Amino acid sequence: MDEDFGEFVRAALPGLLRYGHALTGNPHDAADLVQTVLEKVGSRWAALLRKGAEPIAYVRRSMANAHVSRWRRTRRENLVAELPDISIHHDHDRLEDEPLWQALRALPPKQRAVIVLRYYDGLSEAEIAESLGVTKGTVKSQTSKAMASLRLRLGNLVGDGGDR
Amino acid sequence: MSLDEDLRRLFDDERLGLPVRPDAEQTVLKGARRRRTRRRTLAVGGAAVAVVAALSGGIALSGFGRPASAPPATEQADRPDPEATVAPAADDTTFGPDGLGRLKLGMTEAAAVATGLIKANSKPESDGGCRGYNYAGETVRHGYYSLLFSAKHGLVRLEATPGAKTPEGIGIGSKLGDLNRVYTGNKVKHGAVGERVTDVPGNPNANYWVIVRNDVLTEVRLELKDQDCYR
Repeated sequence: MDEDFGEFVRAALPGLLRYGHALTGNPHDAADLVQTVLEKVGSRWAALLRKGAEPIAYVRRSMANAHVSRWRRTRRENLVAELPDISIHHDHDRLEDEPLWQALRALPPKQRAVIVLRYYDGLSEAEIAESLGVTKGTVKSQTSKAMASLRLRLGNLVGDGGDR
Repeated sequence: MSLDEDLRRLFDDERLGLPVRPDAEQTVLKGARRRRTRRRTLAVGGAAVAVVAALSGGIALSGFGRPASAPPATEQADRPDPEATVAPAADDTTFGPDGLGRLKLGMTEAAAVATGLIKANSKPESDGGCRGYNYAGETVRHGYYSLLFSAKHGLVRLEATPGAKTPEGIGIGSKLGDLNRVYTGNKVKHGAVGERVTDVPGNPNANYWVIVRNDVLTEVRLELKDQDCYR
């Protein structure tokens, strides 16, 4: 069983880390998120396969949920924002200079997850609602809040808020 | 260029990719086995020991974030010998339930400054609109706070100094297992990955908030539950 799961991990890790990076906004939390979710999945691997779950989809959904349900994470990010130690990340997170990446970082976890599920995973509103266990209305409102706040931030960054 | 297109392009960016540590697979397998074993042990023994996931190893190639063994984002890494330099704060090394020595949760900024135990940070105002301080003996780094004051709530958060211990014997360097054993009755809660939060015995208004790396506590905070400095 371990062999089978090991193989899955080996093949899926690059993609999952990339996905985690999109979800969390930094490499460190991405690695933590992927590791935590994979360990949980691995400890129930046989049962999961018996149920016929598609592992990659299952793991990605778990990651999105774990990210949203980290009830303290915004607070942690907030604290980190006060701490220049994040500059270690700056040296390594190669997206750091992207205004949109910075704007995304300011979104609350649920809004960010909705955006990632929509634009990274290409899911529909209904699919996002099902993945996160919320209503379609919530997905709609979270998306529009997220888009408005991204536009606002990008507008501020480019100065005039006009078309870019 | 629309925002939709920008988002799709960003999520398509090759820079989102992260290098995988060579031992990542083994790290994950080990962690999964540990969880399985723990679950069985619990199922068999039925002991209501708080089970908390332990972070270990790490799977992204090192070079991202802090090395797992290094302290988290406080200036403690740079802090010279704590005995020698944090002495002014160490009029007591008992951390909690209501403060550290003469520094008490809820006290005003002015009262705390008057103790002579703290000094303002070179970035005195935090992003959350509160006032950031450090212990007098600390080497200060810009924007790194050991104490935060809110105009409304007074001292809302302070960091344990190296060597300080809670009345239950927990401090920087304690094992995660010790934390869980000591605070079992208080339901150690998971925060974000690597964080734990627990009630403070003897102080219903406060939390202990810790960061765990490789099963070791690298940072311990005492904070007011009700505060307006950070979310």
